[in-house]
Amino acid sequence: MHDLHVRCSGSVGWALSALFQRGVLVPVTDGTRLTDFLLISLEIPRADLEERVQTIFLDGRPVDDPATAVMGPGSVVALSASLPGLVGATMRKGGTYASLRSSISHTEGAREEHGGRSGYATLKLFNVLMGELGPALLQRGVMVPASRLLDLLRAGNHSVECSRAEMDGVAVDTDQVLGRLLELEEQPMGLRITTL
Amino acid sequence: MDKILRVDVGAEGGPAFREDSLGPYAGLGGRALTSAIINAEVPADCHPLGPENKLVIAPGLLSGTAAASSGRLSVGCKSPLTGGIKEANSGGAGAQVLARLGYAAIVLEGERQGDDLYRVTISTKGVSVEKDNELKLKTNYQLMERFSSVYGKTGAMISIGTAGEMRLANSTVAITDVEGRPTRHAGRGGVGAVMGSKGIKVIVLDGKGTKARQPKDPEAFKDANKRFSEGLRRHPVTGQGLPAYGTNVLTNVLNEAGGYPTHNFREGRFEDAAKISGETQAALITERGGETTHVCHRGCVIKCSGTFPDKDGNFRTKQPEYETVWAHGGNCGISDLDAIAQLDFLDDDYGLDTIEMGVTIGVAMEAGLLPFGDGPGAINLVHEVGKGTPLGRILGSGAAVTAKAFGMERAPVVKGQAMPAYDPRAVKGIGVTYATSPQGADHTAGYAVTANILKVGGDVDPLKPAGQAQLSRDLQIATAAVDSTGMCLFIAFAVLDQPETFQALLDLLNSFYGLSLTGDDVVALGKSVLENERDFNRRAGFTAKDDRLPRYFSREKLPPHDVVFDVPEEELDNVFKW
Repeated sequence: MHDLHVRCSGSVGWALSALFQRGVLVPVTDGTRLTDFLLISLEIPRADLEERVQTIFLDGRPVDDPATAVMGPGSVVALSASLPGLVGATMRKGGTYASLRSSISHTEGAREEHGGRSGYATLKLFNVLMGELGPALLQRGVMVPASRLLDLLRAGNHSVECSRAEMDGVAVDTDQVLGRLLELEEQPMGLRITTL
Repeated sequence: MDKILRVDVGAEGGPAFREDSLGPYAGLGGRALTSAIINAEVPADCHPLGPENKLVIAPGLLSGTAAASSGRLSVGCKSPLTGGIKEANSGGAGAQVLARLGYAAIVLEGERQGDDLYRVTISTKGVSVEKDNELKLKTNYQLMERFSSVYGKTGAMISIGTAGEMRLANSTVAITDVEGRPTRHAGRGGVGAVMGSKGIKVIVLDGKGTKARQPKDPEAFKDANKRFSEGLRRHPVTGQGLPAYGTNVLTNVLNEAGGYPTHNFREGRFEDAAKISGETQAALITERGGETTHVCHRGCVIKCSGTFPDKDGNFRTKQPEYETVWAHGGNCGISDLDAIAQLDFLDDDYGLDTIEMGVTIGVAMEAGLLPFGDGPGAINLVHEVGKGTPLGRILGSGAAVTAKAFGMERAPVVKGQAMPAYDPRAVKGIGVTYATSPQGADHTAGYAVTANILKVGGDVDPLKPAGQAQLSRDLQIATAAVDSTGMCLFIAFAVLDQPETFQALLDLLNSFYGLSLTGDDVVALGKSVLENERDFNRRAGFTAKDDRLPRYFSREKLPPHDVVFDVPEEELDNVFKW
């Protein structure tokens, strides 16, 4: 597994949209409760989970009670703040209008357990949560497919804010990083983005 | 706002106008007023483009006042698209200026004589109706070039593009924004065609010398407005999400839920959703020097709009809304925001409803006229409509007519009107509203998420699957009431979550008019609007069979969740039994 550590002098905003809309990979063990994933693995403060994270999807299904939802490798978790519109309100966890989407709501029971198997879950952050939760996650480190990182760095938006990068602990320049990412194709790799 | 301007386009010697008192319509505004006039004065069985139909343009009860976010304009008629009653609602500067000029409504009525086009000008000095055939086949932006010096920064223009002039069933009435651009539209149901059938191309509102309408109790009104504005700013949707990303913030979430209609409602997820999401759109706009936080009318504190620049930083169009980005984007498999922005501009310029146009193109793509994902091809089709070619006139007649012309069952419409950006198989509750609204498939008909505040039908348990019909009914009642105030529907989020903000809204109405309205009175107002609309539709020949989704939504499973629309018909028939 390769690691890329990018150090930036300013905002990491350039990376948030590209990384979190399509999702990053986070280690998870089969049978993990969704609340544990959010509070312990992601280190989201409980107050933020209750107040700011208004909509939670697990495998594309709106979750009403994250304490009862169970996940594991291959799960996809998406988080959103409050949303406009009736449908936005409908998607809220345990909201007044949850019954309007009852046929797609997350329910426990159909999931196969794999006895504590470890792997990666995909985490997506939408709208204002990208800015509120994303920088801390990038600071601690996430996993992304090399091809996605390649697209991100090729866009060039990072160059103003970020001047130093290390791959596997060795200082590299942008061209070296791009070349290495090209070779790795879809392989997941570790990414940390820290601010100086 | 104590008079109605009636323009009789069939008067001898050319259109004539008169000013009426409000009479039986006193105390009504916005949708309540348009639907009351249409139900009382238009024969329900008339042809929408015939002389018996009328076009009613009405600001809301609080429009023209200092109340925050109160600049919505209602446009009503018998719809050429649905054949039923229609209220199309728009932002922009029109409602505020018209209200400040003292008019509760403009009514265009009578039988057009000949092919001449007319412009109506309204100012503090009076009203004029003048023949102006130089306006023939002018687009909305061309009309802006011609008249912006007249309406200026304090006025507004209400106009039809080429689509309305050609009386296409998909045609809008455009309303200028605070910059004077025709970017706001009473979009749904073909209201532009009715204006075109009356031969009125443009209504110029000169706002010079007008002043904000004054409340009966200025101190109480000021206090209520302060509390109301603070409530909107404090709420995470109206204070953060909408200003930052606009309504397109919904793309990622609907896509994640598997309820984002894709490829003409074939799938519930679009693989390139992230390329056209509100987050991506906001980043692109910022990078190009545009604005992501912008008002569509003065006095709005939500500021959900924006400006979309082209690659050189020049104004291309207003920030496309969620429904527009979806209709022309995911629904058509198009993932290029510049192509979507160009389609939005053309819709505004020709005067086309973006939802109806995007869904129509989706139908045409499924029919094989062009492949899904073909942005330039979609742009060419909109030009065909705007220029009135034979193909364009079919497409401009809407999704239902286009599907019929190409021999297809799969037209996602109710009562002839295209469905918006939420698949009713994934979010069945909104499917109930699509099916039963007197307006045809319309997401805004059940948008005002205030039902539990108003307690129309008692508290609803959110985690029980039953009660779709009850919720839809409550939402439709609340929406009809909000549509009558002139308030933007987006206030509903703050009102839902913050009871004190709902009270502030009531206090605004009470202090302005010297009333003592309660939540029950708001419910009664909403019910009366729906009763008017249902009564009109019943007399126009609508029955319970029209309150249904197309049958294929009950048959075809929507991936990824493989769900169908299965709300029982009996439940749909109970929506309006109160």
